[in-house]
Formats: sequence, structure tokens, C-alpha cells
Amino acid sequence: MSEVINQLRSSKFKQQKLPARQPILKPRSVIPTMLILGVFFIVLGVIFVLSVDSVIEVSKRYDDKCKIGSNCTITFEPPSDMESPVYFYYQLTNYYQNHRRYVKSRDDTQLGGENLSYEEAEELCDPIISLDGEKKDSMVYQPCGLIVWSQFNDTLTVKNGDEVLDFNEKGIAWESDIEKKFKNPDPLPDPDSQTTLQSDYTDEHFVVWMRVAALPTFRKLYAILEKGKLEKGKQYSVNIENHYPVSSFDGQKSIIFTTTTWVGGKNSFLGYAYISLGSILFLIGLGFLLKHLIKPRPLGKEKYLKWD
Amino acid sequence: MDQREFNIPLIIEDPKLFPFCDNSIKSSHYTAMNFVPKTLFEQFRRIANFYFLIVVILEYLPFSPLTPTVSLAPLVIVLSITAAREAYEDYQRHKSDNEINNRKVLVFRNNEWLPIAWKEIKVSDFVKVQENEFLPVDLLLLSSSNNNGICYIDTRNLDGETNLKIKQAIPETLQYSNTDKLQDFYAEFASELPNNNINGFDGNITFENQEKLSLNQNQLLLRGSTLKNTKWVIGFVVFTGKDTKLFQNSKEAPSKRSSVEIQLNPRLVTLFFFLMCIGTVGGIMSARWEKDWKKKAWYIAIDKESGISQNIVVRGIVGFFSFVIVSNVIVPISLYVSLEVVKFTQSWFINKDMKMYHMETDTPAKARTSNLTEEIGCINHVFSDKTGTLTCNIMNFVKCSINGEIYGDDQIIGGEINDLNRIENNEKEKNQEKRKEKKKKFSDKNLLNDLHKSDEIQSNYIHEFLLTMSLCHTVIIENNLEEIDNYSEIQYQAASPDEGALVNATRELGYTFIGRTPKTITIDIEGERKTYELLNILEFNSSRKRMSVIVKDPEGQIILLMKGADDTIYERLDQKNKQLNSDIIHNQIESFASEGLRTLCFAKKNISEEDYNEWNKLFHKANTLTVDRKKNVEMVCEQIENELFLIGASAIEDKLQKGVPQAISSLSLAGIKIWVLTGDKRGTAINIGHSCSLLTNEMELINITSDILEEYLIEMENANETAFQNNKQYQPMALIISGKALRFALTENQKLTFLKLAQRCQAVICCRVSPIQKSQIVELVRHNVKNSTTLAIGDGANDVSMIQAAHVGVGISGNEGMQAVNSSDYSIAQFRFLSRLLLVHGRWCYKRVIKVILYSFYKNVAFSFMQILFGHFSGWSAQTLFPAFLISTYNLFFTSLPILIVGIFDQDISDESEEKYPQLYSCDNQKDDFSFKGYWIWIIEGVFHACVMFFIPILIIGTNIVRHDGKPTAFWVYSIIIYTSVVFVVNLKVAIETTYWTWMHHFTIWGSIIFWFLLISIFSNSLKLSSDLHSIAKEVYTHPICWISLLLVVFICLLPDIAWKYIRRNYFPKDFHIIQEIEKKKAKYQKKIKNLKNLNFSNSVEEHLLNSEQEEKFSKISKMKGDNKYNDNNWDISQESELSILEAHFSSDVDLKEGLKKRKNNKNKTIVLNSSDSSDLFEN
Repeated sequence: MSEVINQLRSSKFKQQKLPARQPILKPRSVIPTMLILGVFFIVLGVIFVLSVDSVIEVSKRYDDKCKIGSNCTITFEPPSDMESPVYFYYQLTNYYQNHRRYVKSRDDTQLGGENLSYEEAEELCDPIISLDGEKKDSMVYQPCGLIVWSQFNDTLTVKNGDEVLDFNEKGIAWESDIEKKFKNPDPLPDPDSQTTLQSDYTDEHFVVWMRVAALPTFRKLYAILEKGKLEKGKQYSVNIENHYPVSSFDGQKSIIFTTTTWVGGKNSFLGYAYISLGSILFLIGLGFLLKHLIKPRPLGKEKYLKWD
Repeated sequence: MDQREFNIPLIIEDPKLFPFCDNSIKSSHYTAMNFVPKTLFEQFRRIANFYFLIVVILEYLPFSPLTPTVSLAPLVIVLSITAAREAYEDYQRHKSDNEINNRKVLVFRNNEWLPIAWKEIKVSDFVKVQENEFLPVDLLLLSSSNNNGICYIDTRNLDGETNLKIKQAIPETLQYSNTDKLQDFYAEFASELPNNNINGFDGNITFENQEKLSLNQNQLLLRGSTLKNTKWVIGFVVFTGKDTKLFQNSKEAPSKRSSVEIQLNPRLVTLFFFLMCIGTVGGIMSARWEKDWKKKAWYIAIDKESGISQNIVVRGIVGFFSFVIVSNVIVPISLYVSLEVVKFTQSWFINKDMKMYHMETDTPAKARTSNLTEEIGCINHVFSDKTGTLTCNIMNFVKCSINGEIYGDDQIIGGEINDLNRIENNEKEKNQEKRKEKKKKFSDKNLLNDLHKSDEIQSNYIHEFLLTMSLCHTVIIENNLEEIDNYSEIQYQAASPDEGALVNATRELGYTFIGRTPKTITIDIEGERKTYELLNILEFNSSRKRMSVIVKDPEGQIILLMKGADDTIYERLDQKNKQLNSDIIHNQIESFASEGLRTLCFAKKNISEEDYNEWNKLFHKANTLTVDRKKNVEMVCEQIENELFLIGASAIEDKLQKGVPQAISSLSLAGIKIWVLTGDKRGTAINIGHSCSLLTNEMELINITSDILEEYLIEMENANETAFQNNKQYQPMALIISGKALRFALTENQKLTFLKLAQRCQAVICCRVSPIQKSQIVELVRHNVKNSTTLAIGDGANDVSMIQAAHVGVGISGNEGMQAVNSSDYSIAQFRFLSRLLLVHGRWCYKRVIKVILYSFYKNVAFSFMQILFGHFSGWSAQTLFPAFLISTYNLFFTSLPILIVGIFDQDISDESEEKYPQLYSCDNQKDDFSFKGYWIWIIEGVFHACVMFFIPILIIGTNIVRHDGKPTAFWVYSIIIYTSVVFVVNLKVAIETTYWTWMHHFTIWGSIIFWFLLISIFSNSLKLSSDLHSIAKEVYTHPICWISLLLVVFICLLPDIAWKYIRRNYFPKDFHIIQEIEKKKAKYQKKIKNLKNLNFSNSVEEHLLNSEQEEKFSKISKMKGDNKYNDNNWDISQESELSILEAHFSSDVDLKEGLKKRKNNKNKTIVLNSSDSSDLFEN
């Protein structure tokens, strides 16, 4: 009996006496941490602001200048030299790629190169399943689904005068998507068939489009200028074959040229957010410090207990 | 039909028509067939489970944004955990049922004794039970191995009483002890219907051509008891199976729910409401959006979608349900499982707590239910029994008054009976030694002198007094008289400790009770054996408050000897020849009572042969009634118990248990009102009140004692005037009310006045209360005091109703059997453990459970609220912000373990401090945490965190280019960034709330975060598991923006939390903050001392000093805290005492350095040689 008891007694676990730390928020540790962190965040914020400042971004709306079905040219002038790589995006607004019905209307196995039966397509691709809604395997869209069906189809070409700039339209999608996720079916879909919505599943514009955006205003990468630069003061033009209708939903289409730094593109919020957070931390820390210096409360005195 | 009649032997042609139930028992709830439906039904009665069932059903609808598996998986896991537990428990029940049903006993079949399984036994069978066997049925005793048909049974399993009970067959059936006789047995039998009265039975048996013979509980052997000290008994079966008294009694105890659990529901309802709001907003907005955008957003092709009506109302309803489904996580499914685990562990810790373990009786504390662990954290009313709860229930015969003469004034006379033998203990020998130690040799010369003096009158009185003491009782002798050489070795078995004390005392005084048969009692009067013929025993019960025996002394005189409470005896004294000294004795009794002693009066009456015979006929008749027997018997008893002659009174001391005053003062410091409910006299009660520091000298006592309504009203009015005087606002008061006055106080129109007065008083003592009044009082407070949480503590069968009536019932596993314990929620061995149970375990559990609940709400609100925010950005389409499987695993994998660990281990302050500062335990303080305000703070924090976690990534990532390689982000990237920050924020929030970091906290909190990364990297490496998340880990975590955003989110979320906690601690501290700091300081100080001790230079000196100082301080402090604590728990003494030194230092505010300096000086003075080199080091 006594042995059991002794065991029980010495069990720190059962007696709830496990070795433990009980940290408490003491001025001595909190105030310095706050001040140091405040400074640290301010410094970080300044670094972000400076980095982002070096980014040059040019944005031009074109849907209002160009009729659907026509070819137009938009010109732009970089405010300063834009060293390569320069990224060329198109931007859509009011476009709900994140709508539930839109997001789910795709079939990843089909995009991975497998042929679908009508039933399989029906399950996921609704409402864009098959040509004229016929319930035949052969009539299933290749690939099916809203996302594919609503693919962005404007063609954009950047020119300097008459010279087409060397914007590379490869390397704009995620490597993993190109390598693993998207595969062409065997046999390749007939490009002329009405059921074929996309003849090359690994086309990078297509792959980029298929990664739906999080918010109704989004940018998609179109091409990258890998060598050379866009020079300040020069007039560049973008040739647009304008197919994609946006007016019905009050959307806007724009083109954007930008350089990047390690934290991405022109994103001033980041830096200011850090500076503000840092300042708040610092000010609170300072407030605590003043209060502590002027009227500290000595810790652990029984006289502070309410019942005394 | 109010009787049960059958013939013996009972011959029934068709076994199917057998009129009585069989003897098999079934305690299991399920069979293999009905387990699944039944357990599912049980589980879906829980509102949360039912809710999730509805969610799953909704998810099967075609428009559901989530697939059913998302909710089905957690639901199935939760259900199967509970079902598995149920199945296991039921399997155990089945097993034990089978074992019991198939036990064998000898049954008389085909004219011989055959071993038959219990379940085969039928009513009217003859059964033969051997020594130490269990009784399989309720058996009517016919004969036993004893010639007089006596047998002894142990009814421990039935009523928990451990003393052996005597049963005796009626003489007419004694002959049926062999097979030949049984063959010819033929009789008609009638009895009462099956009922649950263990201590009563009415029946009669009529043999052919003979008179009707009465039977009572003395002939009934109950199922569940064990045959002892008797080789065999034979009887016939009266009740079987569920008709037996055992099963009639096994009522399910009323199931108690804690107030936290009750309050949980309205809070859950708020969450439902919240969810409905999300649904409504979502529904309306989604209908509006679709109406606006139906034509515009051609790319969604709303009109092409199949299956669902385009009607705007239908769309709205679909939207409503869609949002309800995607936000269903707002109701925490894991909460109930977590709570169950947490509470189970708390109960387990209570069972294992060695500081609530009573070494002498080898009894640990036991949580008999795990439902109420948090309830004991905010008790504000304690109702305590006195005898056996506050006192040891070890009776000591200390004084007596015989014919107005007081004996044993200053010293203990008589032995002390220690009922340790009634406590199950393996080390019986050890106990016997103990018992001998406790026995003090009798030494009251006065009494013996007077007895032998020539003053005949007094000598005679003393003789009669001792005679009554040694004859008027129901004590039996446990050991065999032939085996012992000395009377002092006789072991008495008494039903009540008072009786034991009396019989033991008379032995010491030379009047030894040495044996009884059903018809005689034998005593040894100073060496001379005398046998008294025992005619009747008029038994004791709580309404009679007296017992008497009618005996015929060796000279042939019939005497009635009675002992009982003073008021009952005084009522029955001979009024015509009023004794001159009865008033003197009465005063003496009062003075005994005011010393806290239990008093009993003794009286006698001589009866003439004729009177007796006449009365005995009536008595016999009353006893053979089958209807209203008890009432009639009592009436008949009244007729003979009158015109008594008072002999004297005894005073028995019932010592206070160890540590009771300390425990009581702790509890009252903790803001708990203590009501003592006792059957004792007022004086005794007040005295005990003083000695257990319930009543203090500053207190003004308010007495309410009248037994007439008008007087009572006047008394109450006066009392109210005194109590509510303006200038006495801070005057502590105590109310003492008698049982008779309570009768008025508890009436419908008086009870609130009484309650108001009682609430004004710090302590309330109710004396002379009956068991039913006890529970009435508890219910009065429970139902009429707002926010009251009541606890009743008691040890005897008379406390059961009160224990069941209170929110929490605590049983003392002491001397008075197990009935109180069996109906309690917690059992402890000693009253003093109550303070630890409440102050330490209760407080911890409450804090922990509240933390678990509130945190579970918070984390689910934070998670779900983002969904409605995202609705605004996704065309109110109820697109889930996260991949479906991450929604279902949120509660299961990433956020449930850390809070579970906190719920199990968190200690905001140590148990030592909780006991040292009972003020911390204040129900109001505790309830604050779970008030609606506290609840909303957590909910709002959840909403705030949701906004931060949602909007910061939008502002940072949003439409911007966030990667240095210019590639665009996508929906799932955004989603994973947010999810990552949820996992971080929610787990770090636990970290902030954790006050007690063990390795397990680290393991689970950091483990949960690491597990998230592990899981997401597995998912992003497999196309099959999730094509959406393919390679997501690489795309998210390799880019600095993710971490930058995470850092920002985490700090913005937690900064207000930390800042507020800092401000509160430092500038608006609560008591526990300060105590945490004190503990911290102590720990630091202790460490320094340890370090000093470790410097080997001055080991001996330091230690010597330390030790002497230790002992001194230790003894002081241990006295302060109640020596019991240290005696019982002498482990950790070194540690504790060291702390006590520190305590001393702190309380006198001596600085650490000063303290050391002092010590150094001392040392230099005392031991110069040794310290020559050490002092140098010290200066460094």
C-alpha cells in the first residue's frame, strides 16, 4: 500500500506539480521589448518604403478607348528608365473570378490530360459542359467549365515605333502548373472543333487564367521583358486586338508595366503599415515607461491585495 | 391488491403464467441489436450534435457549397468516441450481469439441494445459503445453523453500514432445517408489495390448521447482503429480481448539471443567432447580387445553370442556407468532447491528490461524477452536517449526572470506542493496536466510591444508571466469548457510536455486557453474572428519538429501561410524583450541552405482570398488522413509555475532526456562507460553532427558538430590527434557529423573511433539525437566493436528501456507513479536505473550464467571421475562403490540443497560494469570467482578429504584384496565407492565455503550428490529395511577402491583448496578479538560497542555521495553518518550510540582502572557526 502511495506522492504529474514556467508581464521585460520591437518595425517599414519607391509602374486603361472587335493602339511613356525584367500585366476589374460557381466550374483531371465522360463533366463543369447541352461524351467541351469558357482573349503586343519589343510570353505561369498540373490530352483536341475551347492545355496564358484570382480586381501576367529596358521619355505603344467584353459588368481593362523588388511591386501600404505599427508599439512602450518611472507599482506586495 | 400472496410450495402449471418476475438482473442499457440506433438517439438529443446532423443533411442538398464529408468526418469522430465509451461501459455491465446471473446457490429442487444459477431462482423456492455467500434474493428466514434461528448478515452493499445485523427466524419455523421436513412444508404466505423500505417488512405466514404468524424485517434477509458468522441458513424466496429491496432502492441518483453547463446553452444560442445573422445577411446580399449581376456577369452564366430556380426568393433562401453551411464551424463541435476530456482529467486529479488522502483510513478523495468539476469552483453556500462531518464521530463518554450528582468532571471516564473496526481495513491488527492505545483506563473514584458507599440511595441510583446503560442497547458482540480470557478483549458492534461508547464505559465501570440471545441479555456485574430476560425492544428511530427495552430481572420484576433525548424523556416523566431533582438534572444537561457534549437521558419504570401482559397483547397485535404497522406499533409503544422515573443523564464527547476550525475559517474567508444543520441541542451546537471557529467573539448571536407561531413572529421581528439597524452594517452576526422554529420559518409566507435574515448573517446554525428539514433548507436557499451555488456535506443516511438537493453533494466517507457517500458527487475522508477541494481544485477547474469554453467560442468566431467578410468580395456567392478539408480539420487538428492542455494543466497560481489566500475564491469573481460581458469580450476579440486576418493580407496582397518574379498570386495562395495566420494567431492566443507552461504546452502549441506546415506541405506535394493546393507551399512560403504579412497580422492581433494584459496587471491588478508576483518573488528568493547552500564552503554552518530557523518557523506556521496538514503530508516538508522562512522574510519586508547579512552576523557570532574563510566569500 505505502509503495503505491509513495509513488502517487512523488508523481509530479498526478499531483499537478509538473515543472513549469509562469511568465508574467513585468515592466522590466515588457517595456524594453516594446521599444525594441517598435524601432525594429519602423526600420523594417522604412526599408519597405524605400524598396517600393524604386519600383516604377505604368498603368493604362484601354477598354474605354477601344471598341470590341477592333484593333487599337495605346501609347505610354515610362516616367523613368525601367530596367529589365519588366513585367507586363493586364488588369480586369469588377470581375468575380472568385464567385463560387465560377471557382468550382472546372475539372482538374481533364486539365491534367484525361478525357471525360459526360457524367464526369456534368458533375464539376456545370453550366459549361457540352456543346449545345448534348449529353454525349463526344460533345463534352475540351476542356469544360466556366473558367475555360470565359478565357481572356485579347492579344497584346508591345512596340517601340514599329519594332516589336522582345516580351517573352513564356515563364509567366507557375512552374509546377506547367510541369505537373496541366497536361495535354491524347489525342490533342481538334483546334477547329466547336467542342474545343482550348487546344493547348499547357499554353501559359491559359494556365495563368486558370489560376483564379482572389479578388474582383486582379492582374494577370501577360509577358516579361527579360533583356534591355524601357527608357524614360520614349513613346511605347501596345497593339491590342480587343475581343474581351467587359462593359456589360462595368469592368475595366488596363495594361500595366512594372518592375519589381524583393517585396514585389508598387505596394506602399506595406511600408506604412509597418511604420505605423512600429510607432504605435514604440509610443505604447514609451507610455508604459513614463508611467513606470513616474508612478511604478512595486510588484508582489501583499498590501495591494483587495481584502487587505 | 395491496398484498402479495402465494402458497408454499407454489405450483404453477404453465411456467409462462408465473405471476412473479424472474431473478435475472439487467443493468446494461444496450443489446448488440439496438446499440446503434439507441446510442445515436441518445447522442442526438444533445443540441450540438443535433445541430451538426442538420448541417450534414443541409450539405447533401445540391446547392451546398461544402461537401457533406467536411462536417460528417468530425461528427462521426465525435460520435464514435462517445459511442465507443458507451459500448465499453455497457460491455462491462453485460459481463458483470452475466457473472451475477450465473452464480450458483443451493436450491431445494426434487427433494434435494441442487446448485442452481441465480437467474433460475423463483418465488417460493427454498434456498440454502452458506457462510460468506451473498444472498441471491430477498429470503424469508426459516432456520439457521444456530439453534435459535439466529444469523448475522452484513448489509454493506445495501445500506453501507458495516456493522453486522442480527436476523432471527420465528420459533415456529425452526424445525424446517432438513430436507425431510421441507418436503412436508405447506403454508400460505402473505406480504406487502415490493417496496424500497430496507428497514421494514410486513408479512405473515399461516401453516395448515394453525394461527397466522407475523413476520417482520427480522426474518427478511435481503439480496445483496452477505451471511456472516453463521454456517448456513434456509429460507424461502419472497422477492426476486427487480422486486427485491436492493433493486427497488437502486434509483438513479438525480443527474446534476453544473451551472456553467446550463449557462452554456444561452451562449450557444447566441452563436446560433450569430450564425443566422450571417446566413440572413448572406442570403439577402446574394439575392441582390444575383439580381443585379445576372445579366451583367456573363462569365458566370447564371442563367445557364441547371437545377435551381431563378426566382429571387428561392435564390435568397439558397443563399441563406449556403452561408449557414459555410459558417457552420462557428459552433464549436469539439467543445463538448474537449470539455468531457478536461472534466474527466480534473476528476482524476482530484482522486489522485495526496493532499486529500487520509492516511489513517486509507481513503483518497473521490470525484464520483465528472459533471460538476467547475461547479465546485464557485460555491457560495455550504450546508454541513455536524456529527461525523465536523466531528470525528468517535464518541467518548466523559460525564454523567446521576440523581443530580455530576461525575467525571475533569477527566475522561469510561473508554473511548473507536469504530475503526467498522472501516474496512486490511491491516486489522494495526487497528486493534490503535484501538487499545485509545482506550483509557477508567478512573473515576468518586463514582465507584459512591456506588459502594453505604449511602444507599445514591448507590442505588448509580446501580440503576449503569444497569440501564448496559441493558438498553442493541449492541452485539463480535468475537466469541469462549476464546477470550479477559472482558477487555470483547469487541462490541454498535449501530451507533453513542451506544458503543456507553456500553464500553459500563464495562470499564464493572458492568460488562457479555452476551445476548433473542430472549436474554447477560451482563457481568463486578464479577457476578446476571441474566435478564429480554421481553421487548422498542426500537430507536429519528422520530421517536428514544429507545427502550423491557426486561425481567433475575428476581422476576419487569422493568422498562429507556434512554433518549432529554425533551422526549422529560415529556414522559411521571407527572404526578414530580421528581424534585429533575430540574437540577435538566440544568446539568444544559450545561453539558453548552460544553459541546451530546447528552442522553436515562429513565426507568417498573411494570406489573398484568399491565405488561395486557400491553404485550396489543404490541403483538400491532406487530402482526400488514398495513400501517409502523404507525400502530409506535402508538402502542407510547402507551407503555410513560410515567417514567428519571435516573440521570450521560454526556458524550464527540471530538472535532482535525483541521476543522482552519477549514471553516478558510471557507468563510473565501466568502462562503456556512450553515450547520444538526440534530443536536442548541447549546451543543453553539459550543461546537465556537470551537470550530464558525462563531467568533465579535459576532452577535441571534436566537430564534420559540415553538409557537406568534412568539416566533415576534422573535423574527426583533431579530430583523437588530440585524438591519443602520449603525450595525458591519457587525458580523450569526443566526441560531431551532428545528421547531424552522417549521414556521420554512412555510410559504415566512420563508423569504427568514432567508433575508439568514443572508444577513455570516453563519447560521440550525439545531434539532430533521433530515427532511435539512433538504428543505437547502432547497430554500437554492431556489430563492439569486446566483446561489449550494454544497451540502454530510456523512450519514440522514444527510442523503440534503446531499441530493444541493448543487453539489459531498459525502464524508466516515463511520456512518456509505449511504451519504453513495448519493454524493464527491467523497472525502475528512471535513478539512473540503477547503482544498473547493479552494484548489474547484477554483482551478472553474478557471480551466471557462477558459476552454470561451476560447473555443473565440477561435470559431474568428474563423467563421472571415467567411462573411469574404462574401462581400466574392459576389455573396458563399465561396469558401478555405479549401473544404481545411475547414473540417480546423477544429480537429490545429486548434484543439493546446486548449485541451491548458484546460487540463493551467494553474494561474499554485495550490499553496490558493490555500493561503482563500479570498481568491470568490464566487462573484469567478462568475465574472463567464458573465455575458466576459463572453462578449471574447466574441468581439474573435471578430476583431477575423477582420485583421482578412483585411491585412487583402491590403498587402490584394491586387498588387507581391512576388519578386512578378508572377501573379491566386485565390488559394491568398487563402493559405490567411489560414497560416489563423493558425498562428489562434495558437499564440492560447499561449498568451497560458499561465503555466509545462513541456506539454510547448509541445502542443508549437506542435500544432508545425503540424500545419507539415500537413500543407504534404498536400502541396500531391496532385491527388488536392489539385487546388498543388505546390501551394512552395508558391506561398518561399516568398517573403507571406512572412511579412504574417508578422504584421500576428502583431496587430495580439498587441491590444498584450497591452491590455500589461495595463491590467500593472495598474488595475486583480488579486491573483499580485499573488502571482509574490510567488515569483518567492521562487527567486528560494533559488538564491539554494545557490548559497550549494556553495560548499559553508554548508554545515548554513544548514545548521537554516535548520534551527526552519524548525522554529515551521512549528509556528504549522500551528497557524493547522497542524494536520503537516502531519498528514509530511512530504515536501523541507520545501514547504523553506518557503515558510521566505514567507517570514517577506511578511516582515526584510530585504534579501539584509536577511543574508543578518544571518552572516549570526554565524560569525556563533561559529567563528568554521566561518573564517567563508565570510570572505560571502562578501563577494
